[in-house]
Amino acid sequence: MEIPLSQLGNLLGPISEGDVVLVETEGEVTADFLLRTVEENRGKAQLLFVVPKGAPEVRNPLKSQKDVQLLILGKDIDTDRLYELLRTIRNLSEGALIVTIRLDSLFLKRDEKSVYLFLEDLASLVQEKNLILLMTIDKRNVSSRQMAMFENLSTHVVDTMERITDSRVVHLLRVKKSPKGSTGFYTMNVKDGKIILQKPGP
Amino acid sequence: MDVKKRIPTGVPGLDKMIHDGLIPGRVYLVKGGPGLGKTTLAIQFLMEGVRNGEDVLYITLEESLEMVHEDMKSFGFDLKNPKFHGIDATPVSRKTYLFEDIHYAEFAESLEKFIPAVEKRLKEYQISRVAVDPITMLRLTVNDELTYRRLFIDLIKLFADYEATVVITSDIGSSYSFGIEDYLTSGVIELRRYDVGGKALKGIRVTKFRGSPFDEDVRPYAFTDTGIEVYASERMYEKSTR
Repeated sequence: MEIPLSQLGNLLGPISEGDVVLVETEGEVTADFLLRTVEENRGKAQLLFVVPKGAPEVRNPLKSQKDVQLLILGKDIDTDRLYELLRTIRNLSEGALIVTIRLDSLFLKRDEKSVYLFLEDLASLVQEKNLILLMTIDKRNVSSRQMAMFENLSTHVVDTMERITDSRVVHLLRVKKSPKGSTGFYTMNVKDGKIILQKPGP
Repeated sequence: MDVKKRIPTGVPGLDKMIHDGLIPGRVYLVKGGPGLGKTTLAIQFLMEGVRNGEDVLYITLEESLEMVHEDMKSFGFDLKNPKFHGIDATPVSRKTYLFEDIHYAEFAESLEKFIPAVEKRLKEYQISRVAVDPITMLRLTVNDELTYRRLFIDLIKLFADYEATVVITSDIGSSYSFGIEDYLTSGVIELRRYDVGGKALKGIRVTKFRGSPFDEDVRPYAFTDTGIEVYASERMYEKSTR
């Protein structure tokens, strides 16, 4: 299974079926990242994208993609009926890739306990069905306690952040959790959906 | 160990919750507020029998048989099937079968006719499945608790004599939490509304099921084109109930 984190391969180690990959962001999920995910997996695995309502920059690039099942939270699946999402996932074929964008939006509608129980079932289902789950979370929207919920259920956690240095925005990335261990920060650039990493200078 | 073959309810998700279906020859209670699908569940249970070539009996005590027939059409259930036998015991029905020419006020007085009439049907058609919908009507009509209890026990005995598997529906009223029905039936299935973020979701829970292990969790369910569908592998993700 390939996901556009392949440049992180050496850092993350292999991503196997049953794994949950959490990417903590500070807002932006680029369209080319999503398209690259589709491209790299087209024909290899069933693809399900779950995106929040009211995020056209995420939704629109996926709309016209063949072989992609796109579910909009709050439209196709009601956030009050999370069991319907699990039911959809339960019917995916083995090895399918599920990408959920900004699942933190659940906290706006549901209490912590409900979200945690849902995430627990989601992670169990991913293992049980040999699926791969790639989740992105906007860390500005969640508390450290809520973030811990996501991290505890993930096999791999990638942390990204923005810093301003000499009036320049610098994107940083580190592996926060992985069977292979964690890493320090790297500078990150996204180009054509590919993540290019460099060790920070001295 | 109970080696009897289970009786599918017609709702696969519910069957999963109760480990493959109802135990034959027993009486089960389905409780729930209005609009939650008690009648649909009862009819689905009976139509599953019809599909298997069984003769089934539906006793309606509140809505007229004709009205239930019309409502159930939307799920594809044909109550005019010759294997489906109905008793319209609604007190306000024009075509009351048991209580013809008896007005609402006289309903209680005519209860003695009820059991013999049900028995006649059980015997005549070798009925294997029965639904009584809802028993609440009898409870409300009989002022005397002892009389009601006697009537209910007689009914249970009658169904047991004919080895029919029975679903009795009941409205969850505010006046009592547990009635005699809860104690004397072999299983209790509750249909409830759950408030989730200001929206009402439907959940089903088995609170009692004698003679077998069962799933005690609340499971979501929905009305579909073919009746009630229970999501037996899913959870409601809600802590409080109403």
